[in-house]
Amino acid sequence: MAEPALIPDLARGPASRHGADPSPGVWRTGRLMTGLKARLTVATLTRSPGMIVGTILGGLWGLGVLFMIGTGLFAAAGALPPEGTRATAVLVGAAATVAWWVAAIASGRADATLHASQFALFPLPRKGIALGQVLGALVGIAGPFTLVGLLLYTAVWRLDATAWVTAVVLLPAGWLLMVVGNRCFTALAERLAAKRRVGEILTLLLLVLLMLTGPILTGLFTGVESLGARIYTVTDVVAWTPVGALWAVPADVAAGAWLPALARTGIAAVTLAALLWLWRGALGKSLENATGAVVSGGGRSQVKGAGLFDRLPARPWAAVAARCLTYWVKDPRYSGSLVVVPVMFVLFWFMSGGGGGLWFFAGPLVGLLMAYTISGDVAYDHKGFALHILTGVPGWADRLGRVVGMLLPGIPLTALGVLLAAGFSDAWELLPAMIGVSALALLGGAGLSSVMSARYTYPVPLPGQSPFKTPQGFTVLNVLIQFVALTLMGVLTLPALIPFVIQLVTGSAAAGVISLLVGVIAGPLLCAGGIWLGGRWIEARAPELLNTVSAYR
Amino acid sequence: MAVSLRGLTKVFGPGTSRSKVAVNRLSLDVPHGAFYGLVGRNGAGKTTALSMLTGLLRPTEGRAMVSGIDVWGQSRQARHAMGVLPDGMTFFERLSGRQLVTYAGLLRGMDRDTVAQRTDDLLRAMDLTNDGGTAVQDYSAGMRKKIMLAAAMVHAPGLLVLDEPFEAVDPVSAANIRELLQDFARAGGTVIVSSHVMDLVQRMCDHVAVVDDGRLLAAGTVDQVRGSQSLEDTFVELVGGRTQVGEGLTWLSPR
Repeated sequence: MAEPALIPDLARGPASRHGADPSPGVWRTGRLMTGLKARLTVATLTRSPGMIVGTILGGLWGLGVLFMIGTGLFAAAGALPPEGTRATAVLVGAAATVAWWVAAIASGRADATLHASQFALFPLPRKGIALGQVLGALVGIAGPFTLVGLLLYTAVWRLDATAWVTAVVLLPAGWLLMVVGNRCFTALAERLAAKRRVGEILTLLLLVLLMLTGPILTGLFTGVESLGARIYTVTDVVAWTPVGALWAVPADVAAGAWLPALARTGIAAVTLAALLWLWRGALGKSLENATGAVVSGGGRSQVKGAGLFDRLPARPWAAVAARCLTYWVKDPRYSGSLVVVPVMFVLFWFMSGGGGGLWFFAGPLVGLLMAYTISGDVAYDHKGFALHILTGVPGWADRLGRVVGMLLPGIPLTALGVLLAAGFSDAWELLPAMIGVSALALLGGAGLSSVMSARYTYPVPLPGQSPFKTPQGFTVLNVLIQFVALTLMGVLTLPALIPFVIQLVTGSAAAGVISLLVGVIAGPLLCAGGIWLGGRWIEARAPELLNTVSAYR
Repeated sequence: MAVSLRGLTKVFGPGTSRSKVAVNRLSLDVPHGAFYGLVGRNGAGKTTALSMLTGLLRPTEGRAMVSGIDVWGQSRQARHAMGVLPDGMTFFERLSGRQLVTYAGLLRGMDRDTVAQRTDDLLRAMDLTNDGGTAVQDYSAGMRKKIMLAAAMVHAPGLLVLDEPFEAVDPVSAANIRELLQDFARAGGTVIVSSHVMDLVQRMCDHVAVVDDGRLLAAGTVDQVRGSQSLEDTFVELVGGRTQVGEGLTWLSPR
């Protein structure tokens, strides 16, 4: 017989003090959460002196961009016919709305400030949490900027007083549409991302989409000679969509077209209501499943044996390479780079209209990208780097393994870039020089990364985080490190690049051979030198390095 | 001596207003074959001291020796003599459990067959055979501790330095691991564990050191340190700081 005294009497219900305390109301919750968000914003922006400088510079930059957009819209109103003004207003408004919504999925698990699951333990009303999240956006970073941006945006209607007044009146509604959509999609994305693999694939897809935005948009608007007519058709369609309807209302009101104005306002209202309804559901789910438990998807993926560790030689450097390569495949922070490369090829193809021009530099650029990725390698390891220290792996083996892990996908991808470049431009006589420059970029860059990352690091997204996550705690030094690393890598390729350019200009085949020789001789030498020197540095300062990278959050 | 610490000191942020002495002239000898418990409150400096012993944190002053090898002079040899379970660190969690232990073995320059054999044995000992192929990031907190423990033992070191090894580990696994460690010590191996569970230390360890505020308060065999009382009472006496329970939070009662 169990001792009943030990079991709390759950049946007592309201008579018990459990949960009898009155929970704060909707408005008070909203106010509390807004205050919390304001404090978090201030704390984030003033974490360190370096951060304050960054905040001021970033703020000035943001204001500058807003000012430019505002000036552009102001000028557009004067320069364009009324239909042009309407098209500008609708398309810019719709694009900003879409940007806000898509940003939600991009940041995904990243911006969890005020996320509902953090408040699951507190007896807060759901509506209050929602209110807090919307009001909280006002005291965040993007929210105020958007508000200022929207104010500037109304300048597009400056020539028509009626439209301008309507736009100003509708401004809060527009802002609300953006923010509520953002919160709603954040909550939905969170639900999706709970299946890790799904979340990761979504992230990678988005990365591709973002990179291809330019070509896709250009493709939509160009190709046909009558650009103007096309834009107006697009505008008319967009003006009836949930993201565009609201932005077209001022034009309707100004034209006295009351029925369309009413209909579009209706569309916007229904959209807002639908978003609120969806958000309510997702919020409820987040509050009920607040443990943050990640489901690894149907039939937990099992690695057979020791995976790549069985395939590569049983040496410390090869073990490091196997580990790095596993991460290149499995960790979106690395595999993002692998996905980006083919997309880069598409971009080159698009921008150079088939062959020539930029294509010539496809190989070297891929090489640089791959080499640069490992300049943050120790920071990507984060606390895992402790294992390398504890096992006493020699510094050169640590460096060599990382370089080999990068080169295994890096060499084929760079070679593909070179071959595609030569093929599409039908410039096979440039092949030796392109190989030379690419070899120097990839191998010399890898050498430089090996040295840089042994001492100088910068914050990166932590293990398990989305590659889109903006790491916190950037200092002026970190930015300088990245700048210097990239500049040095560029400078490093000059000895092969200069003869290559000479060949491009004069057609001298000898210059191409010189480029090839410089690349295939200096590249491996620089790489080996970088591994040796980086190894020395890392052995001298491994604990300090671990201290620095494990403090990133 | 398996381990000897001499005047080990760590000052965080020296020369600044927020300067903090985390470990203060700590000297300690751990004989070969000892099962040594390091006890102290949260923030007493246990992890900082162990990090300096294991080569993860450079001391501000003082020396740490493992079997006569200077950890900060001949670091490679010293690291091969130790197996370490650090606290507050995570290893490469996208690897599977088996991969992680294999990685630790290969990094230490062991040959493939030995690593494979020992990895199998360790997974079995840790009751993780069925989870060997699962990514460590999908492990529970206790499973993580166990796989990191396995990674610390794969090269059969003479000294194990384990920071909070039983935190979140289920009682059955904990009993298995305890037995394993005791056999290891009986065979001449040296174990240092940090913990704040006094009962566990009293039952499991033969030696104990009490650390508070970065300083060594007492050290010796468990019987020497505790005298006629329980270790917990001795500890509370040494460290002090008990609040008058019952008077402080009178409102904390149901009904």
